[in-house]
Amino acid sequence: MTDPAKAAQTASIPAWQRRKGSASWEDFRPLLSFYGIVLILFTIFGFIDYFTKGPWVNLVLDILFDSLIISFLAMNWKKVSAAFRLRPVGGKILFELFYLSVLLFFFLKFYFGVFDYFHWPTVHLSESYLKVGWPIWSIFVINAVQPGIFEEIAFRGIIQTRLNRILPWKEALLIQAALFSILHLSVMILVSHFLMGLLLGWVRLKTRQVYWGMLMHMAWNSLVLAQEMYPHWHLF
Amino acid sequence: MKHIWKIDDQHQLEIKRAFFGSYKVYWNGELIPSKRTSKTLSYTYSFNLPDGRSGELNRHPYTADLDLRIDGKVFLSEFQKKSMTCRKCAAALLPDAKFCEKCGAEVPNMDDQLRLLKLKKARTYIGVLSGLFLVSGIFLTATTYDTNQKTLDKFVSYKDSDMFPKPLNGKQYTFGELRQEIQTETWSPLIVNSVLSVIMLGLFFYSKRSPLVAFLAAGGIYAAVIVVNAVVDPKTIGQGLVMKIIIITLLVGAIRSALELRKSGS
Repeated sequence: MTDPAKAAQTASIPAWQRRKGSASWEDFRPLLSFYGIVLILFTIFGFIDYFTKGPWVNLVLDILFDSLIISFLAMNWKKVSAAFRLRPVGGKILFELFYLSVLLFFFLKFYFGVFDYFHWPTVHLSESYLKVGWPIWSIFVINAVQPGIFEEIAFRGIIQTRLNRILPWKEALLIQAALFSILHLSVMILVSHFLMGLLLGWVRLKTRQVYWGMLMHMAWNSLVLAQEMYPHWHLF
Repeated sequence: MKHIWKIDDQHQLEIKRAFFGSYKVYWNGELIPSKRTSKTLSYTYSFNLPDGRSGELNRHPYTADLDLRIDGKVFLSEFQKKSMTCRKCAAALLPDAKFCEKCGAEVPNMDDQLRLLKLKKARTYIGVLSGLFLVSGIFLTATTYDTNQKTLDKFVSYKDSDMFPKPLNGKQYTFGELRQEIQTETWSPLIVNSVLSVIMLGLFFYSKRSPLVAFLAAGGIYAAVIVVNAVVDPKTIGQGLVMKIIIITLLVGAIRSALELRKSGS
């Protein structure tokens, strides 16, 4: 006989938190194949970029990466479509996400402040584009809008949604955040991007859709670009 | 090292190395014919025992994992049994024990014991990776420190704002910028490798709590490091290739074992 108190306690926990999952190697194989293909793409284009040093290489890589993500999305649509449904979000959840974002913003301000203090090199997203005279709006589209949309589709829309079906939610959250940070291929931003991945994954879980994460991701990348191009604004 | 399996009180199976890295199978000291086939990343030796049972021995050439099944039932070698430790209290388990002598915890079945051995091996290699990253960071910094210091000593008489006489890689530098570049070049291998070492050490300890997440993260980080090194210096692709294959294979095998263990409820 079910204990009424325990049943009431269980019912108050959201379904995604109660799910235990039953993962198998066959479930993981498509996700690891996707990750492997992306790594190979990055290697090839890393070689090309090393010798050519132009923003065109980044643009071509972005187009290929986005095409890969769209194909992957189409292949997995039935299993992940729920994450792409527009749903209303309560004020309480939005407030929680807002204060978590503010906390992360200040942590990252401190984190990159340490880099500046020790003069450790950081990646300048806009440098190669400004050098060849590309318009500023194109820099924002390529480095803020495009990653904000497609990285969210890949990591929170596809990977995290599929992992949620086969693993407990904490493990799915940790794994997608780890893959997100690793794929930026820079040891120095491994920690910062892991925390960003955790926050964006949490946004995905709480709002049950990818769109709020897309907005936050685009906003963060835009802030970074603005700081690079207009350092006197003192955002960081 | 001898590879012996005690199948029951009267029978034992042994494998011995033959020509060109292959193995011969012996049943109670007598050679029995076996057929070797290759699968992805492993060799399989199939044989029939004199009592009619069929056997299969999988051997991974890089990690040397051995997996013996007779009529589908898993058997652990005497060496594998000695490596088994209790999941709860980490005490050494006696061969063929059903319960841990120290804490009384139930010992999992043979299939799960084999998977736990793979997890243990992968965990060890993550610890080894952590040490290797730290050592390579110290080594790289030590080998370039003297040369870089001598270069900096030559710049002593110049102010930070003075321009370096000729452009380097098409860019004009001041002496201040050059000093910064040289300092970064000296210390960044140590910093980057120390960060990686700490992360791997954290994953080593975390793998006891959540092996799946830890092995996935470790495998992903290691693959990314190989990729970045290959892009910066293509010569590194071939360096330590065997070690790289061993580690990636072990980590992938450990991920599979962690998934199978979770499914079996262990």
